[in-house]
Amino acid sequence: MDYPNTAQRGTVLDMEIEPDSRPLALRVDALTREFGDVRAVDELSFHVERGEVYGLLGPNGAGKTTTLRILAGMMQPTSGSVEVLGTRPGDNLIELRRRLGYLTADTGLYARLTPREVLTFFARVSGMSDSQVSYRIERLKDELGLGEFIDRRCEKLSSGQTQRTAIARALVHEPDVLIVDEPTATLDVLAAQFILKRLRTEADSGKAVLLSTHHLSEAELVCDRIGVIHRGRLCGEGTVSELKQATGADSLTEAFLRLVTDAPDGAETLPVEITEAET
Amino acid sequence: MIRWWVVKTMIKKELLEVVRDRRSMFLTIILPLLLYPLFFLATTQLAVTKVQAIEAEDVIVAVVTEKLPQGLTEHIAAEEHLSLQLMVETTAKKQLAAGTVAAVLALPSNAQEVMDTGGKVRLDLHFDSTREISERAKRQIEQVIDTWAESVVAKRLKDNDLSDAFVDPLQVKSENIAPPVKVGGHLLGSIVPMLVVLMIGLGAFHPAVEITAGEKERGTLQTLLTAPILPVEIVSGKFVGVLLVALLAGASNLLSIGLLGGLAATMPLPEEVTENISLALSFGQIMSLVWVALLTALFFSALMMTVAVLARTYREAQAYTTPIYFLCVLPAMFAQLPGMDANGPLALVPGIGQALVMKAILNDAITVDLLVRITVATGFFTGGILVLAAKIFESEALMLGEVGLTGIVPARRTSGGGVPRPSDALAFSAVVAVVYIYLGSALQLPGTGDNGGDGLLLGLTLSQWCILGLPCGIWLRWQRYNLKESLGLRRPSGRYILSALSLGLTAWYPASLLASLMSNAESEAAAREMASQLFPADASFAWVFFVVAITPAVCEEVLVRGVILRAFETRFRTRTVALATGLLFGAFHMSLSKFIPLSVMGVIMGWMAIRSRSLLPSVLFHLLNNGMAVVLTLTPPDLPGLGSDTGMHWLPLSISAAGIALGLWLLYQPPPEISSTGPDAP
Repeated sequence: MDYPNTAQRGTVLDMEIEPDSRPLALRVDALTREFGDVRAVDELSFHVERGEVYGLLGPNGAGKTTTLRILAGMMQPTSGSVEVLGTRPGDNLIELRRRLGYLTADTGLYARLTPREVLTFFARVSGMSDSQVSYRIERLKDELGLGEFIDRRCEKLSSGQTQRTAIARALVHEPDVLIVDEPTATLDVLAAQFILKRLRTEADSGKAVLLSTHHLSEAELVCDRIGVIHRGRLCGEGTVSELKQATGADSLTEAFLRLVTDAPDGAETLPVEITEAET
Repeated sequence: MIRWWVVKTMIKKELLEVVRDRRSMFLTIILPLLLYPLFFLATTQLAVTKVQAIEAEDVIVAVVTEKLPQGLTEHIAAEEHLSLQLMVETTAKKQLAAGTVAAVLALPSNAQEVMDTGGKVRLDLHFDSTREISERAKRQIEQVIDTWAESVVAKRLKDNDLSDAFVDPLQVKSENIAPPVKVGGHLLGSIVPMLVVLMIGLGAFHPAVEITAGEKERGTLQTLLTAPILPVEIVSGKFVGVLLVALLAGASNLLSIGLLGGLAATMPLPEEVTENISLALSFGQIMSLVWVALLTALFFSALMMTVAVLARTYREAQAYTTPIYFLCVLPAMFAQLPGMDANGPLALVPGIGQALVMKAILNDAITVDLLVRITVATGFFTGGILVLAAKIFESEALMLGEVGLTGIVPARRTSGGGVPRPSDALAFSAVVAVVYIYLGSALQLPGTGDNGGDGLLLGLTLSQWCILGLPCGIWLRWQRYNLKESLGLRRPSGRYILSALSLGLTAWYPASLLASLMSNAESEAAAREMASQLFPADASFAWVFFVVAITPAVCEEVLVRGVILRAFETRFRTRTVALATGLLFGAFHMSLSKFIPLSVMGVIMGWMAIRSRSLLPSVLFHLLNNGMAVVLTLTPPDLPGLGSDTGMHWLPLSISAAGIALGLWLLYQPPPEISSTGPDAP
């Protein structure tokens, strides 16, 4: 897939770009993944552009995590294809992962290392030199407020501090694309707000952000576009207002409910937490 | 390709993590340092106290007789804490069973008269070997009876005017001619190998579980898998991390044992001990021990890590690794049994093999060939296991913890065609090599009796066809690979047939000269023994030719120049492929003296397979080469330079040089169809 070669790693795209001409960062095309008889992802197609936050919105078990894992090359698709910045995971996985930041609720930090050591490790294996690493860590320390705990072991951090470190970990190698899987699941409101704002900032600086969530309020707050996914299929896509308009609903919750109810073998099994998210 | 700076970063991270895990560090490194001295002190203290208590206890020995002999009462008076009591037999035995008396002595009532008149008396002593106090009473009574008997003998000799030579005509004085160092080596050889294997295995256990299944359980592995690191780099980093901790644990244990030994050495020892035993080791012995300990650590680290990777949780990993640990360590204990030495096929089995070789080192019975064999065998096992580990790291289901142990079985490919990838071919070959080393060695154990040779020939045939040859075909078919492409089953150009003929008929001569130059008396004797087994007098020529020439030519070629070479060819440069498969071929035969000639032959056969794009020329080369050995052994011609004659003889040498030159020249010519020989043919 074409995208301008002028977009260097870590540089900020500060030009005004028309929405339609924004370069493509992620493309998912007729993606299907089966686990035995279960079809977790079913002919799913969508794309994410640079500079936007795309929300993959759906209940637990909708196939969100599987899609993200296939994008990061951790899983193979049964059929269909994915591309990250024009590269398929099978073609050059190392280069793809060098340009990709992956963040989950399950922060995946090494308990006995300090945030500084964790960041150094992930930056080094991404090919950054020692001086680049220390410069980058200093910047992230200021931007994300890691200063007071950067040399404390991760096992001793609070959940908010842990999540800040995790986001720094996903950003340390200056990726062009961020894939974020339920990042606020274990956080209180303030910490969650911090993370969401940060994602917005990253997108505004030219990165592509793919956010998977089952919280409608989060999606409404930060996402430029939303893809509603249920049972592995895309049931609707667009901005919040487009989704409302298309379904004739007053709120995103209502739009969401209508989309998944209209979906084949629809909403009778809709998990409670989806409706609770807005009530 | 593996990037070493990434591996280095991985190792640093793993070590930092493991070293900061205080519990693991304490268990694997600090505890042994404390444990041995504490254990030693506690047991000696306990033993001393217990013995003292038993010695100080007053015991009663029941005597079943009507009249106590005078001699007995006289001698018993000198014993402390021991008294006699007359009883009837039934009461005495009841009391012995109840523990109120320590032993029962039954003797006839006329014992004293019989003794005085030169007769012989029978005494019955009953005791309970499960009670220390009864054992002590037995010892004491026996001592009393011995001194009583001695005094009677002395009196009888005196009465008859005889010297003690009358009853003691022979005197034996034995002397141990083994030098003190040898005795010490034997002593060390009976404990040190087992301890080293035990401790290194234990040392690898904790970090292996911690940095694999532990990482999965804590959710950090998924993060690692999103980073730009290759599976092989993750495996290498983790492997070295486990290896270093295992070595540290082994060193810490040996240091502790050494310190304890030093402590014991400062204690005053009886002169006969210091005179006869020396625990001094030579520099060569120490270096060989360190090398074998390193091999042990390599094997255990790879094995433990790979098994632990299969688990989803820490607990599950412990459940998998514990039986594996015992499976490897228990055989090492058998290595301590007398009569077990490193010359049999057992020395190739990991765990027991290292223990046997260490025993040989300490007994000063080590040879370079043994060291090479254990090194190659360990290399094969460790390499195979690591390839498997890298494959596991590529498996999404195993890494994301969706399946447990069952996920190790590779899934059948959904689409057909193509050639195996190098990693798949290596993983398959590793399994084949492991089975061949274990099962093949057992099958090839020389039989006993008249049909010993037949047993070996049959074993060789079975192991070659059933472990090497057929599984290749079955695997390729099952995985839906293109059989023709994967093995190179196509008709070669006539030129390569000529090259194979030329090389196959002549290359054996310089190869056997080279092998005899590299060999020593010991390996020659082994070769002669092998030859007499392989070519038994009563076996038919056709049968021997089938086993020794046709079988390996087909089976070994299918694996090495078929599966492995064709897979490597898809990824690596021609010369790398020829060199790697050649060295692999040489190493597979596990003999130092044959390594160089076989590797050279292997490289040439690899080159032949690449240039001709066919398996057939190398099969022909292999077949002729082995066939010549059969013909020459069964009907030996009078050729100089063979057998005991080791001189250089120019005529046969120049004929074979010409043959080899012709064969190589034919290979070197540009292939008939240049366009289809691959991108980088030389």
